[in-house]
Formats: sequence, structure tokens, C-alpha cells
Amino acid sequence: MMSQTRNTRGREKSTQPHIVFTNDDLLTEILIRLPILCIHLFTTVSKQWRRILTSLDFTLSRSKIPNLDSLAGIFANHLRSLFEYDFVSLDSRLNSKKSTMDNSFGSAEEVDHVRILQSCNGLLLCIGSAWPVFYYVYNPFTNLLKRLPQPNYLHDDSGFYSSGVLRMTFDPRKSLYYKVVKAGHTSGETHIQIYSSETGNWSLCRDQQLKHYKLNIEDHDHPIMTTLEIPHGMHRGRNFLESFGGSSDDPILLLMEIPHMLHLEGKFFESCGCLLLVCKDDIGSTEFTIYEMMKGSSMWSVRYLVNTVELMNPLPEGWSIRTSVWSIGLGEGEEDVFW
Amino acid sequence: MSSSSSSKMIELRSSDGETFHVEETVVLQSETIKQMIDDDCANAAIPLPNVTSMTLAKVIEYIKKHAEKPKDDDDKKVAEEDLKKFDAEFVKVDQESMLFDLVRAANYLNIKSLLDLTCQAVADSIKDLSVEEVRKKFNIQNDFTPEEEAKVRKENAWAFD
Repeated sequence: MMSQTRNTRGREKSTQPHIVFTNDDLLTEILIRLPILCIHLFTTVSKQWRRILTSLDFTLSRSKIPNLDSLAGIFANHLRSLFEYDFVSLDSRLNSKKSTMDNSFGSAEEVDHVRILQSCNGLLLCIGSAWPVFYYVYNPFTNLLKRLPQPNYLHDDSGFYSSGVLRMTFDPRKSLYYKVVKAGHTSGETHIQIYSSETGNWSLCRDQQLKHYKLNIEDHDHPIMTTLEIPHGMHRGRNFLESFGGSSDDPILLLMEIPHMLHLEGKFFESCGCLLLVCKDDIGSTEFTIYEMMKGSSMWSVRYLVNTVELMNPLPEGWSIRTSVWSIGLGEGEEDVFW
Repeated sequence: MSSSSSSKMIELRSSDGETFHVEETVVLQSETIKQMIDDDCANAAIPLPNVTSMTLAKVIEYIKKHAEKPKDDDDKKVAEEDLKKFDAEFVKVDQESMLFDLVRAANYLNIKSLLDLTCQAVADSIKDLSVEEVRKKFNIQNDFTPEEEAKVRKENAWAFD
């Protein structure tokens, strides 16, 4: 008698995925949990998948879910040329290849030898190699290129190819316009200028003097966040870094104290609402420390002590690699990655 | 040892007619059933025409586990770890169709944490597949015309070249 209740199972088994997948809401619930690479690849599965994966709502919902996107590959810069990259795939579904961005965008002649400074939500911020220096925003998806007008302070003494002084922020979920922040030095003073694609102009955001600061990063809730390089051998007692946030042209200034004074190198990253600071005690040191600061907090705590000696072990004797931390992503549990 | 006399028992009936008795405090994790109870529609057995007895048994196993309350803070940490392990094991089902059954049930019963868990499990099962493998696995028709497919591939040229 009991067994009679189970007789429909066989038929249901074959149709269950179908029932779930034909329901847009349920399919969305599943797809928003995929890594970003799948989101792109799977747009070719069917029209329904494509419609869901490319909708604005999908992007919005996905942004609310903590996702750790694993590395799909790396761009390796050629030793002899600043402008040539090879793409080394770490995913079997992608091919390794030489970058097509070896010389130019393939359009205007003037745009020769560009270097990518930053990639931000689908847009690339690039710098030209010619003098005067021009900055470009490139959309690889549409193959459209925009040359930014010259900033107000041209003659700054910050490094020619220093990526630390320029940052773009673009979040299509919040605005269709992007902004580029430029921090430049002129005889010890720092000028912060912001370019907005909405107005098409640069504007000086603060004429207040900011000394000894460089470098900036972006933060999801604060579209533009600028943090600054730890100055070498400056005031030993009090090193500060400042950050800028907010959507207007009047960024919020935040002062934070750096954990230790002796660190020689420092870099900042943002992930999952935490500000991360990577400090190296000595040039050429095999150890570095990762500090973290939670959003809304002003205390640093040590998250990791990293030793790169183990990374070198598989290399043949006599070999060495130069290490540098490029990016850090916080994950749930043990899944934190850094590169 | 009669199980907690203080809590009211709710009767659930699966699509294939089996009935299950679950404590009200446990079953309230389902927003759908909570609404029915709030609306005073739960005096008789609650019919769940979309959920089979096999699936319902699994769902009840899940909500029972998630209803356990830790005694103190120390216990809380242990319990959290324990719950993580339970969740990881819970989605390791023999039949993949069971996972989809659970997705549908979690959606119908509106149990958010179970929906998150099962959808993540499905996503994990397809995240390393190629497009062809996805279509094959779930019997999805490629409904692009050759022209449309060429266009889509062109847009994604960076990935396919």
C-alpha cells in the first residue's frame, strides 16, 4: 500500500531541472551565484539565459550576493615592452593568447602605444606614451574610445607612468557616467582633480594643500576612494593617509593612522567593505603583513602575515621572482585570495 | 519523553498524500506556512500540492536542524560550525533531481536560507562546465539562429578567439 505513493517519481526526475529552468525567477536565483566568467560565457546557452544574464536587474541582484570570482587568467607584461601583454589563461574554457592591445586601439593613429592603468567595471583607463600625455577611457565591448581633455595642472612632478595618481570609477548600477580622479604633485602640494563624463570637464575638488600623498583606490559605497602611498622616510612619528569618497565633486576626507612607522612599502586595497593595507618591512623582504580595517572602524588589525619563501620553493635553484601584491579579495571563511 | 509539549504541532500533507507533524516553532521558517498560520488557515492539515513526501522529509530535516538553539556563546560557535557541516552534507544528494526538487520546494515554501543553499549548490555544479555541457546536462535547446549566434559570439570574441 505504502509504495503506491512513490509511483510518479520516475517521470518527475527527468523534468525537474526543466521546471526550474523555465522559471525565470528560479533560474535567476541560480545564475546570480555563478562566477563572473560563467556570466559571460553562458550568454550563449539560450535566448532565455542571455536575456536574464544581460539584464540590469540581474547585475543588481548579483551585486548583493557575496561572490568570490576566481582568477580566470593573468595579463603578463612583456619584459622588453611596456605595451605588450600576453594573456595566460587559468581556465580551460579560455585560450591563452597574445593581447590585441599591443599597440593601439586599432583606430586613430595618434593613439599609439597606450598602457592600461586600470580596469573598472568594463571600462579601461589608459595612458598614452606620447607627449603631451593624454588619458583615454576605452570600452572594449563597444570598441569606443574617449580621449579625456587635459587636466588643469599639467606640469606636475609625479611619475610619468605612475598609475598611483590616476583612478577611474564607474559603476553602471548607480550611474552611466564615470569619473576619473587625478592626484598630481607640484612642488610638494597635491592637487586633486576630478573629471566627470557627465560634464566633460575636470574640476579641482579642493584647493586645500595635501602633502605627501598619492595613490587611490575605489570602494563600492564610496565611488571614489583615494588612499595614499606611505611616504618614505618622512615624519616618523605621524604618518597619515587620507581617503576620498562620495559621489559629488566634494569628496569626503578621511584621516587614518597607519599601523607602523617602520614599514617601507605600503599598498591599499578594498574588498568586501574592508580596507586592506599591505606592508613590507624591507625592500626585497620575503615577508609582508596584511592589515585590515572594517568599514566604519578606525582600528587596524593584522589579518595575515605572509611569507613568500614557500612560493619560491618550486623554482630551480638560483631562480628568483620579483613579487608584488596586485590585488586582494576577501572571501568567506578560508577563501581569501591575493595576487 | 514526549517531544516538547509546549509547542503546537502543525500537520503538513505532501502532494502524494503523506502527512507530517512538525512543531510550529520549526515550521515558521517557511514564510508561506507562517502566513497561513497567521491567517488562521492552519487548523487542519496544510496541503502542499507542489511538494512530494520525499522532498518534504528533506525540507523538514533541514528546518529542524536549523531550529536548534544553542545554549550559550561557547555552544553557539560549535553549533555554527556544526550547521555549516550539516548544510554542506545536506546538498550532497544522490539524485540531482532532488536538488531541483529542493529548489522548488524552498521557493514555494519561501525558506530563504534553504533557497540560497540549494541554488548555490546548483550553481556550483555548473560553474566549471562549457556552454555545450550546460545545454546537454539540462537538455536546453540552443534557440539562437545561426546569425544571432554569430553576433553573440562576436560580442564575446575576447573569450572565444
